[in-house]
Amino acid sequence: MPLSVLFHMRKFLSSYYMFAVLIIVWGVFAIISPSFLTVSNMYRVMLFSTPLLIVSLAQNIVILTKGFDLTIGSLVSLITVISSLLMDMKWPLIIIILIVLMIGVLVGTFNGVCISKFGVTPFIVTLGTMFMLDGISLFIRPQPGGDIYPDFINGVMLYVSGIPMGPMLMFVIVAILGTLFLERRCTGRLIYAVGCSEEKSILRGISVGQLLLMVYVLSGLLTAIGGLIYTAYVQVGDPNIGAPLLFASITAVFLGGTSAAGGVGRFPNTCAAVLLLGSITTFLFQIQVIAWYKYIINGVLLVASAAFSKFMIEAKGRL
Amino acid sequence: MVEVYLSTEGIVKTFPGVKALDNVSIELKMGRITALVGENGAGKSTLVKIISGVYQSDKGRIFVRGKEVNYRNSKEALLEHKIACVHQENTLIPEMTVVENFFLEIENRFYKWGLLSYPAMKKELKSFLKDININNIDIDLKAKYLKPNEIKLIEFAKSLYYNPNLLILDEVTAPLAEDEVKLVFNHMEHLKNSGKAVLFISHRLAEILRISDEVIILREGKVIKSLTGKEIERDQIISMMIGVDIKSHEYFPPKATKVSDKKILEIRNLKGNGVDVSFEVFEGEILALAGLGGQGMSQVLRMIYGILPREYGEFYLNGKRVKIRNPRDAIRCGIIYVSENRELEELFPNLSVKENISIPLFDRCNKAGVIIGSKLSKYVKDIIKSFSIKAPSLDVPITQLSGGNKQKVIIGRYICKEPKVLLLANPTEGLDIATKIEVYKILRNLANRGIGVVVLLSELSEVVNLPDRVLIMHSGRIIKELKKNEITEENILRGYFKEL
Repeated sequence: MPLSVLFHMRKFLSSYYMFAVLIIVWGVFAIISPSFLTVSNMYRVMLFSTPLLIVSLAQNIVILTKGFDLTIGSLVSLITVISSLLMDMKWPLIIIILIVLMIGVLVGTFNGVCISKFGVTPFIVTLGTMFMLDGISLFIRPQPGGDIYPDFINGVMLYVSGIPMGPMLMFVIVAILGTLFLERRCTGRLIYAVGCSEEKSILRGISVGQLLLMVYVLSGLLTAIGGLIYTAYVQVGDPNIGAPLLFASITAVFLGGTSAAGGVGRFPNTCAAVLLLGSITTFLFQIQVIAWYKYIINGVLLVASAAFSKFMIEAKGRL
Repeated sequence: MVEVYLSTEGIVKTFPGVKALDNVSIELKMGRITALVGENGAGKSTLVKIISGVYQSDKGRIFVRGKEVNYRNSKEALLEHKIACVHQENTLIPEMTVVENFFLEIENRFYKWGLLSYPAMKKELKSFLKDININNIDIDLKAKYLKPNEIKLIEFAKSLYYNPNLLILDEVTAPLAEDEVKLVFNHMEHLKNSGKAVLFISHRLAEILRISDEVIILREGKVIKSLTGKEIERDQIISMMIGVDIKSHEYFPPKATKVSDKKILEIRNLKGNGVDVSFEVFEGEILALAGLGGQGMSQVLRMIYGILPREYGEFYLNGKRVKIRNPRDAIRCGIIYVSENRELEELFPNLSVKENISIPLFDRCNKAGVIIGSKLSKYVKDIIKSFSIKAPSLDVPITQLSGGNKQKVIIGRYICKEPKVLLLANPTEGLDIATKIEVYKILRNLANRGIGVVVLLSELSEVVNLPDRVLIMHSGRIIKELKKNEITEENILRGYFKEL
């Protein structure tokens, strides 16, 4: 019995090692600060993580195809700006949501067409789009401002006896749907195939161009959803507020073991990495350390985990 | 009258710099096994990729059962016209398991409550593999851990799964063992007997003679002839493939009349990667390393040059011991290696012809690290002239040159470094006859200038006619040395098969 349990544990851990890292880090945090592993604190971690998880799913899908989506941060900023603007103008909420989602799809389509039809490198295309979106946001709202509908905030947060249940629910739903999409749907599998080898995919009759277009559209749409939720968090329209999300999403995806070479990586690990980033921020806040340390820790973690996963892959190859 | 399943009419396909297919019209009949033969670069794989929908032709039409068709990709050809193809390249996605790879095109048939059901796929695949008698392949393994023969068998099984009306097999048998080849042949015969069309490509002539009803010969992108029945005969096929009588010596430059006895390079106890050899290279000779595929010849060259790690090896250059740890050391000693993998290991595809030639010349064309353009241009022009390299301009990307001109660029650019020993792996692979002849001449000229030319050859006619001395390798050892008059077709073949 113990042997087979060990075997399954090992198999699970080699696929989802990020969870082991997460548990170890939690353990260390709990020793330093006993109040870390409390229910209310875990709520805080999840609360912090939900918008990041949604944009990380977007980034993860793109990176699986060897791409990059640098527009994520700017698109989130633009969406806080536009929704706050429309809310100032008292537009109905449902229309605002539709418009925002449409903007996401449009930006994604623009990126996708440039990449799949004209063959421009994703990094360059999305860098350009990022600047354009930044410019538009600053043009509309040079300073942070605007009011967000309280109904909208309550709708996103879904307070149940003072505790925001909405973000938690969303975290779980996105984690499950993202995993199922990537691991148990044809389109998800084709993303892996194309990311692994475009040449082989072409030989096998997969429409690579169509798939890449779809990937960027999906990324734009997911980012728009993430941006809407972020708007409810920050409760203001701010042209610069999204930038940290871009870097956090890239960090989470690589921390979760997705390879920049494409086709390798599992979404549950990205979810764990998102939780890890959330935990670090919450923990540092809790022990009242200046927040700048967060960046140093994140940086060390990122490089260390990249080196670790490289080591794991080589160790596996030797078997 | 036999019904034609697929026919092509006037197919033309051009790649930058090469006309791969020129007005190709063929017919693939039902209940027949048609073989497609031709030398490397004759256009076989290009034709296969057009028929199977991977490439679109520039000109020409394709008919299936007499109706013109236009498919945009191989999936359409497979699912709508039942044209299944096993490509020469490995098409399995390395990071996916065998099961997933097998059903990747049609995974949507395995949805259960909107989610892919891997157990259902596994069950289906297991029973199918059992039906067609392919066993012992772990279907849960990622494709990157499969052996080459397992990859081909899985791809072959996959093509059978679609119950094709036309099955195309491009060099499927190359990595297979004898009994696996038999299995593939059985399935081909079975398809043939149930009235399906099969297109078979193999570089093993014996297999073609054994199984095909019709042989189409391609040369330089054109259909030379289509043979049926009794016309299918070994010598005729070979001479049509090559276009010249292979036995003629006139295509090779005369051998050295007097070989010097001065050793330039002596290699003692070179060990590693399953190889254990000692030999020497004399001034001004062409020395061939020959043997059947995979006997360690290319490892020898790569270990001397320091690309492949070795366990042991002593090198004596003009009698003096030298250390070679990496290609840099080797070049410093005057040893140059030209890889058989031109595109990947020799050329810088994004750089121009001029830049590609210049790269080894920088150290002699600079002043304090700044390149002197005029000096460099002179060198480059000299090389272009003395090797008669044909390029539209010096500034076009190297990828636009033909294979032969690329090879001349590669050899030429090192000659300025005045090497003492030149190591070449299959220098004529993929070149047409005329260019091959030019390469032979170049190698002989270099030898006449006193360079020791060590060349790995795989074509028998080359082994017989080009070198002054032949070392035959078997399982990583040199088992026979042939000199001058001993170099005959018979002696070489005896050596290959270890009949000493």
